[in-house]
Order: sequence, then C-alpha cells, then structure tokens
Amino acid sequence: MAEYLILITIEFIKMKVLRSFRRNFSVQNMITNSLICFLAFSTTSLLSQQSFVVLRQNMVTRQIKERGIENPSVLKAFRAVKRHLFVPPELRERAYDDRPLPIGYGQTISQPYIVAYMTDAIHPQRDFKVLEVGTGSGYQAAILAEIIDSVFTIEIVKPLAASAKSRLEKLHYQNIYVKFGDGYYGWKEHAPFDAIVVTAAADFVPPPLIEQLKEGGTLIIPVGSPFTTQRLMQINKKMGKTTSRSLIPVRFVPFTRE
Amino acid sequence: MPDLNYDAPQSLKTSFIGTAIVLISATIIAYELTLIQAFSFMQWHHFAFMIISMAILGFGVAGTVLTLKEEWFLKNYPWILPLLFFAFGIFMPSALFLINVPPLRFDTYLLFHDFKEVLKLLLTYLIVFIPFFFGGLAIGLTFDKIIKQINTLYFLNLAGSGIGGLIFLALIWQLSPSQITGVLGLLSIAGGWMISARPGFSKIRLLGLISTIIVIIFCWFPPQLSISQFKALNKILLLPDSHIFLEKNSPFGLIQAVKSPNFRYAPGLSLNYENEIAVHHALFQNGDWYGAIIPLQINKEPVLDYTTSGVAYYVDTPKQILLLSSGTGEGIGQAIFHEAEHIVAVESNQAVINLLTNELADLSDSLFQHPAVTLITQDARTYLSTDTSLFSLIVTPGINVFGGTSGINSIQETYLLTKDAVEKMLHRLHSDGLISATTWLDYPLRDPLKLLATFVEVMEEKNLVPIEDHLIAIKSWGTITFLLKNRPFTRDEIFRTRSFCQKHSFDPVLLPDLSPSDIDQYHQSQDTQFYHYIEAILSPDRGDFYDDYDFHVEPATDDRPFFYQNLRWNSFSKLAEMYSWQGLSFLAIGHFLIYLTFGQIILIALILIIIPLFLKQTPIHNKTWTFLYFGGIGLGYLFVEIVLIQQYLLYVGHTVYAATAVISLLLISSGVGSYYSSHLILATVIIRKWLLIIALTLLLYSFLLTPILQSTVGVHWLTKIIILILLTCPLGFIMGIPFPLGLSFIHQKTKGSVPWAWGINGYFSVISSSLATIIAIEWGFSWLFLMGALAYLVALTSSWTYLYK
Repeated sequence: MAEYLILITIEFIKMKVLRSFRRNFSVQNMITNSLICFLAFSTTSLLSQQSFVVLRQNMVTRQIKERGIENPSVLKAFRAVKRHLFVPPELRERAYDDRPLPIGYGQTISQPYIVAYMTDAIHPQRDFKVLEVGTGSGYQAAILAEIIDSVFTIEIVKPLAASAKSRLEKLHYQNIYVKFGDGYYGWKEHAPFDAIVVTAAADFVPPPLIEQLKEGGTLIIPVGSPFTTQRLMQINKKMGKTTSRSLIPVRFVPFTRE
Repeated sequence: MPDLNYDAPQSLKTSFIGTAIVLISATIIAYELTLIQAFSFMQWHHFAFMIISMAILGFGVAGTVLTLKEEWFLKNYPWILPLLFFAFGIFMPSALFLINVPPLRFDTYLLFHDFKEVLKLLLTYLIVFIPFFFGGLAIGLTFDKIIKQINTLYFLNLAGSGIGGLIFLALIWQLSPSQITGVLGLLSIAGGWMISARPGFSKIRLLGLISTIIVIIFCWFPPQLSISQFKALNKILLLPDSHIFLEKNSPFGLIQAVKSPNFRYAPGLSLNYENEIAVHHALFQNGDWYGAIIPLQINKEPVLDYTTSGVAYYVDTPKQILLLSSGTGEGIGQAIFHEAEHIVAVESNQAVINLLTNELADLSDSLFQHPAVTLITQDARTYLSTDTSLFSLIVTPGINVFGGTSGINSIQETYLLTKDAVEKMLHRLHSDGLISATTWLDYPLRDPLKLLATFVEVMEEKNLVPIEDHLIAIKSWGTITFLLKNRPFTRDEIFRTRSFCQKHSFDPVLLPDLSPSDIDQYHQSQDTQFYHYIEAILSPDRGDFYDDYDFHVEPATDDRPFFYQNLRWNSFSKLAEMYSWQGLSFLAIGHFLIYLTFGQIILIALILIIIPLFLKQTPIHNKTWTFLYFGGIGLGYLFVEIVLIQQYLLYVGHTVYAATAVISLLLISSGVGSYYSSHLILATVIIRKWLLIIALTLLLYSFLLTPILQSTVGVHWLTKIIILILLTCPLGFIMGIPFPLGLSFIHQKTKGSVPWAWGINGYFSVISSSLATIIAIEWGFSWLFLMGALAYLVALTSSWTYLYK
C-alpha cells in the first residue's frame, strides 16, 4: 500500500510541475518555476530511493519467498544488496523486475530468482569459502558476501571484471576477491571451495572446477542456451563420487543483449 | 516527355522487350533466392516462405494496381516500363540495406515477447515487397499491353525464371548475398537500358544513368547483414579475442571459421573426466553451430570417449564404420583412434568439405584424407538408399543443440530421424552390427522420447522382440545414447555397458537386466517420470501414452519428416498454463512462426490485392469464374512445386540442387506449355479438358512418384537426371497451360478482367507456399498432391459457372 502512496505522490508532484509550466509562460515566473521544479525532482529522487526499498522488498516477497526460498540468511541478503546499483543507470527502474537485464559486453545480470535459487542451493554457511565463475555485475558475489566468509570471483571479460571490482570496493565489500581470467581453470591457489557457483552456461563442466570442489561440496551450473533457457544443475562430491541433479526452475524468456 | 504515341511492338522478335522480360524474370527469381539466403543468415530459414510470399505478393499487387489504373498505365507504357526496370534495380540492394538498419531490424526470438518486433516484421515484409512490386508491375504491364502474344511472353517469363535459379547458383559460390543484390540490380537496369534505347528517351536514359550510379555504389559498399543476437556465432564471438578468420559463401549458406583462445568443445562430458580440455576452432553455417575442428591425436583418448556416445566403442570393437552427416569430422578422429579399418564419412555440405580438405586441412591434421577414411559428399539419407555396403557400426549425428529446448527446428525436415531411415540403417548392419544415436536430454522431455518411439516401432515391425534384448540406453547429466542391434545383446556386451557406465558415472536406462538400483544412480533427472515414460513407450499400449503426453512424440516418417515438431494442439491450453504463453511460444517457435507468417500474409495480401479490386468502379464480368479458376490454379501449382522439392530432396541428396532442379525444370517446361497453349482454341471445353488432365495426372503422381523414385534411387546420376526430366517436364508442360489459356480466354470474352485475374492468381499463390508447409506439417507431404489435384478440380468446376452465364 505504502508503495502506491509514494508512486501516487510522485505522479502528483510531476503533474503539478507540468501544469505550472503550461499556465505560466512569462519570464517573471521562470525563477519560481525552476524552484518548483528543483524541489519537485529532489523529492522525486528521494522518493525514488525509497521506492527502490519498496521494490526490493516486493522482489524478495513475490519473486523469491513466494516461490519457496525461505532461508532467512538468503532473504536477508537480498533485502540488503541494492540491485539497482548493479545495473546500467538507464535500466535502474527495471532492476527489480522479474527478469534478467543486459549489463553490456553481451552479458547479463541474472533474474533475481535464479540468483536466489543458486545461492540457496549451495546451503550457504557463515564460514563458507565460495568460488564464483562469471562475476558479471558482481551482484551474485555481493549476495554471497552478505552471508558467507569469503567469495572468490573470476570474470573473463576484462572491462566487466574491472567495473565489478571497483563497484564492490565502493560498496565496501572486503570479503570479495575479483580476478580477471578464464573461469575454466578455477582459482587453484584458494582451492578447495565449499561451493562453486557457475553463472555462465556451458555444455560441459570444467574438470578443474570439480577438482577444486571440497569433499561434500556443491557446484551449481546453469545448462541450456544462456539467452533463452536457464536450467540449473547441482553437482555434489561425496566420498570421491560425483553425482548430479537437474533442478527444476526454467525460464523461457529471451532478452536482448545490448 | 517521351513519345507517348509509341505503341507496343508488333513483334517481340524485333524489339528488346522479349530479352528484357527474360532478364527481369531471371533477376526476380535470383533475387528471391538471394533474399532467402540472406534471411537464413540474419535470422533462420523459416523466412523463406515470407520471401516467396512477398515475391508473389508483389505480382499480385501489381495486378491490382493495373486493374485500378489500367488505362493510364497502358497509355504511358513506353516510358513507364524502363522506369520500372530501374526502380526494381535500385530497390533490390536498397531493401536489403533498409531491413538491416537497427531501428527496423527484427529478431525472431523476440517476436512473441515484444509487440514492437511484430511491427518491425510487418515493416520488413513491406520493404521486401517493394522491389518485387516493381518487378511484378513491369512483367504484368507487358503482359497486359502485349496480351496478343501472352503465350510467348509467358514462355519467356518462365524460361527467364528458370535461368534465374542457375544465375543464383553460379553467383553464390563467389559472392555474398549483399553483393549479389548489387549485381542483380545492374542486370535489371541493363534491361531498362535496352528498352529505352530509342529516340526521344534521353530523360529516361538519364534516370537510367542515375540508377546505375546508385547501384554501383551499393556494389562497392554492399549492405552489412546483421545476424540475430541469439545465434550461436554471436555467443562464441563474445569470448575475449574471438574472431572469424575465414569466410566462404556457398549455396549451403555462409560458412565461417572462428578462432577463440577460450573455446573448448566437450559436449556432455563425464563428470569424472580429469584431463585438460583443449582449445578448438569452430565452424558455423549461417551463424548456426556446425562443429568443432578437432585435430587428430592418435595417442590421446578422444574426449568423445568420455561422453555417453563412447559406449559404442566400449561394447564392441567396430571395424567398418559409417558416420552419417559427419560434419567437421569429430567422429572420424574417434573412429581412427579405435583403429577402425574402414570409415565411411557421409556429409552433404560441399562447402564445409571443401574447407576441411583444403584451407583448414592442417587444423584437423588432414583427418578427411586419412587412408582409412572414404569421404562421400552426399545427403546421408540418400546414401543409405543408394549404397549397399554393410557396417559394424552406424553413428547418427548428434540430435538438437545443447540445452535442447529450442523449437527453432520444428519445421525442418530431418529425413535421417524417420522410421524409414532407421529401417534402412538396420538393413545396412553386419549381423552383429550396432546403430548408435545420441541426443541431448531436453526439458520438457521430447527428443529422447521421440527417438525411442521411432526405434521401438521399427523394431516391432521388424520383429526384433523382446525389444529390451535389442536396445540399450545410457544417460549422463546431459545426453542419452541408444544402441540398437539386429541380434540380441550378449551377456558380455551388457557387462561392458555396465562397466562403461560405472567408469564414467553414467546411468543405465535400458538394459536387459536393469534393476531399481540402476535408476538415477549418478544423475537425478529433472522429470521424475522419465523411466515411466520409457516403460510406456516400450509397452504395446504406447498409443495411449502418445495421446496423453503433452507433446507430440510419435515417430517421424518420410511423409511427415518433422522430428523436432512436437507441439500438440490438443494440449495447447494446458501447456500455455504450465509454461506461460511466452514460454510455450519459445518451445515451438518454428511451428508458431509459420502460422504467424501465414496469418500476416493472408491479411496483407487481402488488404493489398483483394480489397482494392473490389473498389474498382468498372464492373468486372464473371468474377466467380475468375476467382475460382485463377485461385485454383494459383494454389495447385505451388502445392505441386513444394511436394516435388521434398520428393526430389531424398532422390538427389542435396536440398539446394533439388530445389533448383524442381524450380528450373518446372518453370521451363511450364514455359513451353504456355507457348503451346497459343495453338489451342479458346473454349471452355478445351480449358476443362486440360484441367482434368492435370488433376488426373496429379492423382497418378500421388500414387506412382514415390515408388518410381525409390526403385531408381541407386541408378547412375546421369540416368537420375533423365528420370527427373521425364517426371517433371510433362507435368510442368501441362501445368503451364491453364494460366495463359485462361488469361487469353478472358481477354477475348470479357475485356478488362486480365489484371483482376492476375491479382487473384497472385493472392492464392501468395498464401499457398505457407499453406503448403502447414499441410505438410499437420497431415503430411502426400496430402499436397491430392490437395493440388483438388485445387485444379475446383478450377475445372468453375468453368460451368461461366457457361451458364
């Protein structure tokens, strides 16, 4: 209800400003109009920040909790991480939509539910050390960093690795380590990992990743065409035996890579 | 202004009109084929129907415009005609340029998700339609002006069209579709120059000069074709430092070789694999994945041995191997590693073979030139019908793409995955030989179930029972492999299969001694009912399962060879509820596209052809007769053309050659038929006689054509050509008669109805290409002959409506 009130208020103020412009064309009213405009859009901006909170809250409730993810630490992390700071400025208003969004270089920030599902599927614990392959915007790493001890993340696209690193530093994430490189090889120096999260689809699971997975650990990887389908697979390593399980969530929505 | 009193030439022989008509007709067909090629690259092959429809629509609308402004056009014919040639020439490259401008460019995968894309598609239709309209108007106007010599003109038109197909084939090996549009533009303009080379036409010639300059600019800077962002090529090019290092144009599409420092190929690899996966080069055809170029490493176990498909080499040591659609040769390397004595690799893509045996031979360590390898450049299915050698292992190509959920192939004919093909494979096995078939495990499950159903039904028909003794299946996290034998699997073979599964953490799915503990031992399937589905297909009551299952998983046949078409209209609402409308459209995008194209074309053609005709003030006599007659022959002709392409594909072994053979032979012989029709008396009884002959011949063809082709598929290629000519030309000859005969008839009896007839014929021809595909998908190709016969019968019965008036 509160969100609607905020949105109605924003629309009301914008309407007032526009009407004021239409009625007062004279030069002497310019200053007054500018002042009204400034005040109105400052309020809008402030309210936008508040509306992001509301949108985020809604995202957690409707897209994540109502779809069966109830791990309190996962839900808390999603409430805490400002997703709109991980998408290009022109797409901020759509940051909390139930869909993936383009982040440049042909890459995307995954749909919130997919990020939540992957996070929940590794059963994250406070003392976990997790490897993420495919940093992208850094959103998945930030979510993990809210819950676990340390996140090691690798990105193959150099500019994306650099921008994610600087974004995560600005947001004061001290427990995320970003590396530019080919995720195929994992991050041997910090292995073994309690869990590995692969965000880019492939038609095979890189052997070094399975090798770097701790005994009893979990690896999550999407299979399917990356621009259309996302089907997740969970791999477990127990007593030297590797088993896998296909997980249900599927999303058949193509999206543009801009 | 040029001399408006100039009249139509009395004889085509003394003017350049005849040559110009041949030129523009050839250019129109070549442009049509070029656009199909361009759309197959930018998007997918589905838009071939759109191109064909737009071309015919151009003719239809030209007829309508002529109907409405006939007097004006006929009066100004001398100077209008060269202008139409110039306009056609300019718009050929311009249209290709415009549809690639970012704000106008549509993307197939977004069509069902964003309404803007549908509007963009409509806009693309209109842009593509423009050049065909000018071309159609030029021909239609000439027909109308020189109606007395319609039979000769129609002959020249059809002969030119036949030549157009050959021009395209000659150009496409050397030039890109963009470059070809420039060349064709110049050809059309040359036609315009010919007919304007007369006194008093200096201003027209000046326009010709400007047109020539514009098209030369397009030749110099050909339009850049933008590829859909959802194509596999774009995915690999996103990897850092990836680039295309070789490109070749061919009738098979644009072949591109890509180098990437991070691209590795190991589809469905076992999770137990511990070695390094090497970096490979990759080949793409029209932006779609074609295969990885894997060098031959005699001493290193191939990665494929660590996938479910490796089981074929583990249960047996096959010595004579047949690789169907061998692609880039990854299976050849595996067979050589396993010391096969004789490997027959069958691949129809001549362009890929040329590259792999020449420019790219070093990258694959001259795999195709290995002494054990015999390379056959032919369609794999045709090879199965023509050769009689026996093999100890037959390997089918990988089925569908990684992820397996793309419905883009749903209207693609796949003759290698039909019941008839499997039966042929079983005939080509040594007594102890194996067939190995691997497919991705898709979700929702479709391909593995359909493949299993195909095997099971063929085995039952061949009395290979109990089926469990002759059929083995194992699965990994991503793929499932079936092994099929004429003899029951031995205990030793079953034991080997089990140890292969254990070594690589694969699950047995079908084994004679399958126990509950085998189920999902290593990989837990997404659909928990997986094993129940398999049981249901194995049971004699599988028909109930087919009816109950949400997707169409009955086996494909040669008559309905659409392996990937699995949407069931009965389950439509249920599926839409489960996967959402958008999700469902993605699962069957190819199938939906054909309906979308059909719907849009019916609508556009109605608005642009039929409605304006009704708006014409002057009364048109015998409307019903004209409508049924020209509508019937418009539908019938294209139905026959499409079914002949399908029938000849299996016979010739190459889609491109089959299509060219059909189009060229049919058009040229129809041209001769048209010429012959000028000797016929213009009377309804004569028209009826010929329509009846066509309908009866088509009925005869529907029963005899397949047996004739099947019994002669193994003959020498020269004999084959003679057989094709004997089968096609008489049919083309008689089918070429009704159109000019009808036109001459109405011209004589009811003047002013020629453009109306032209428009109606155009309208029904526009919708027939899409309609033919829908009939083939929903009911089978065999229906097309019968429907074609029916269409001609409708035209026949219509003549009585004329008589009584």
